[in-house]
Amino acid sequence: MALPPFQTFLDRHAAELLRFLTAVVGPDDAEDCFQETCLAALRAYPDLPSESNLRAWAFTIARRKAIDAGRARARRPVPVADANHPPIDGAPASDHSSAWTPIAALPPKQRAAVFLRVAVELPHREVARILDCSEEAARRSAHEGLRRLRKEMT
Amino acid sequence: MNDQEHTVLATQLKELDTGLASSAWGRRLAERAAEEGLLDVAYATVPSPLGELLVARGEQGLVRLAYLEDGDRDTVLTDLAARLSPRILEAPARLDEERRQLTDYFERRRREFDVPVDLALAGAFAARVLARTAAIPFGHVSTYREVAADIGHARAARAVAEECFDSDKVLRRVLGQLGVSP
Repeated sequence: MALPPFQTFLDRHAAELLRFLTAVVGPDDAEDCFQETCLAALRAYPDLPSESNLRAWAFTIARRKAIDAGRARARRPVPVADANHPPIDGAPASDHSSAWTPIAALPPKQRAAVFLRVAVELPHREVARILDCSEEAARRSAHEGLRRLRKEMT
Repeated sequence: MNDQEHTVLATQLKELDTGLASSAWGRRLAERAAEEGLLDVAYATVPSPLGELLVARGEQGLVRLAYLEDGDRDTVLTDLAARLSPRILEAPARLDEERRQLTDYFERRRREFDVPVDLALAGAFAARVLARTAAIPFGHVSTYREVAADIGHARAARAVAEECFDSDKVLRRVLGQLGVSP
């Protein structure tokens, strides 16, 4: 099987990638991250082995771009008013930071792990590959994230 | 987290509103991809009296015009991906001129096209046939035998006919000796 046209790849996976990035970096940075993800994917695309798991590959790129966005955000000056309440690593520095998704209150790695487990329904082994960590660490991130969410829900 | 809470969370995440329409991010992506030299084939669709028409261009010009029926889009794009490059995006803004000229043609405001055409996908023989048949003026016809003679293959009228009448391009300005298409 040859690689599908890139547009076909987007038609299949873009909506899910956008939701993943919205969940992980927040709505303010999601589109920038998404564009960077797509451009990086497009750059590497023709050289991919045709039997690649394109969905997992795309999530891996998106996760890296989300980390880049988090670092860029950390370098930006924090408004004085927020000085006593610095945003959780990578979270938007706005009062609405908890509103965009139920998992916004979690640290980014837990957000990613919870999203990939719960919304994408990937096994821990694949989540680990996307997050570039051990299977045990991926399992712990998802469990810890879900435990904290449960506390908030009750 | 119990099963019910899990289901609620899954639904919330799967339906997470990103506030972004694909038309908006798609346009921006195509622009940036083109700027960075990452867009090898741009395509768009144009309505025509014979149904939807897919128009694709590469860096050198128009590479493909194809009438679409259900499911054809994937077939055409997959073929382009295999033969040219998989870096293909729907990018109507990159095909403004092609779309405008085609629409004018279908609405009878235009008889000639002046957009660059890239015959890379046609073989050497087909490219010569197409170059010759493109020179037949609007409202005129020629025959397979005449076209064959003009391109230096006087005995290849049948091969010319096959080029003029495959599933992709029906050239109505070229006819058999009796005045009919095969």
